[in-house]
Amino acid sequence: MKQAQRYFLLKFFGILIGGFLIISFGPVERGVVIPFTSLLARMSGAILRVIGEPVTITGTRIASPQFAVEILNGCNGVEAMLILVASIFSFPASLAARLGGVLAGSVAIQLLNLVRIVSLFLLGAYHRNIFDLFHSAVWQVIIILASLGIFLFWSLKFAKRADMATSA
Amino acid sequence: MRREPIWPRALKGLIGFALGFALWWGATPQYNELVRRAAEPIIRFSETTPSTLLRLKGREVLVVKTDLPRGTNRPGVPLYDLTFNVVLLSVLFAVDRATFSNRNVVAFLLALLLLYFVHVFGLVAWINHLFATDTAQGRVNEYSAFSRAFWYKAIYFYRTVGGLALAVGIWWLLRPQHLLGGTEEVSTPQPRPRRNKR
Repeated sequence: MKQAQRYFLLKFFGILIGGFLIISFGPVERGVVIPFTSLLARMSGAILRVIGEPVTITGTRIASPQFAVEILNGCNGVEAMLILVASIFSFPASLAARLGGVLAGSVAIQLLNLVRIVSLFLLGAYHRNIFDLFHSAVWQVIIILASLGIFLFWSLKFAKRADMATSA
Repeated sequence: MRREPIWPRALKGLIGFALGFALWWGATPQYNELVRRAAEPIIRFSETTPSTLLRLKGREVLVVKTDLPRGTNRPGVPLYDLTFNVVLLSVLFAVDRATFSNRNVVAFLLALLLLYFVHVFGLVAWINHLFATDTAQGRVNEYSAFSRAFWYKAIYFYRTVGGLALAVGIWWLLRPQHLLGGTEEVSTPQPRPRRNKR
């Protein structure tokens, strides 16, 4: 493994742990993460109403007569955004390319996350037996794969040294 | 520059996902036993008077304290919640250009071994978090405010982002050289040969 790759890994985990400590810091969690999660709940609720689900939204909780779900950390896509930020900021690229990658990638992750929340709600309401499986494993993996896929795409298109992403 | 079509890779990823999922779901009881066997002595080693036993119940690990009266609440750790990152690892190795090359297979097996240690750590962290916060386990006083916060953050980190990020890190560490198309996909502008003027 090249030194640049070892450096990438160190930076990746450094930024990841640093970012995690920031978002799990009480005031940041209460002032930023929870309001953001509430926004996600409202957007998911709006989509669910459009497709005919009689849901009500209270903070980060989406409820209908059949099922109720609370969006917690780990299900709000912030963890996937953190992996994206850590990957992009560990990679050699211009600041503009990094910011553009983080912004566009985060929007893409959150759009996918809306699909996750809506589909999980529908699974919970109509196929409760497979809800846990999809909640714990399937969607978590898909979201992180999406984050990695966005990073690899970005690294090939915009990064200064794309060969780092593709050769060891 | 020749670009590979993305669909064969996507198909491989999908098959890797299905196989990884089957491996994770199907082998969970046996695998949990391996994780339990490694975690139990670590937990007991950290105790002044070893009194903790770990017992499998379905897909969970029950924490049994032998120094507590019968009927005391025995908390369970859903180990499947700690081990599903093996699915992600399977996808990442499956999308390699030469999925079944010796190098990729050996790297995958090595990655599974490293992930096993990650899972053992995850279980130890979760049990320490339980001991540090669940007064019914009778060990809360053994943990300082700092160590209580540490184990809480450790398991919170693992469950939200760390477990998956560690799988990515292990893959990054061990991935073969020709991953994702190798250097031939990379467009590096070459300087044009200069002509000598007469």
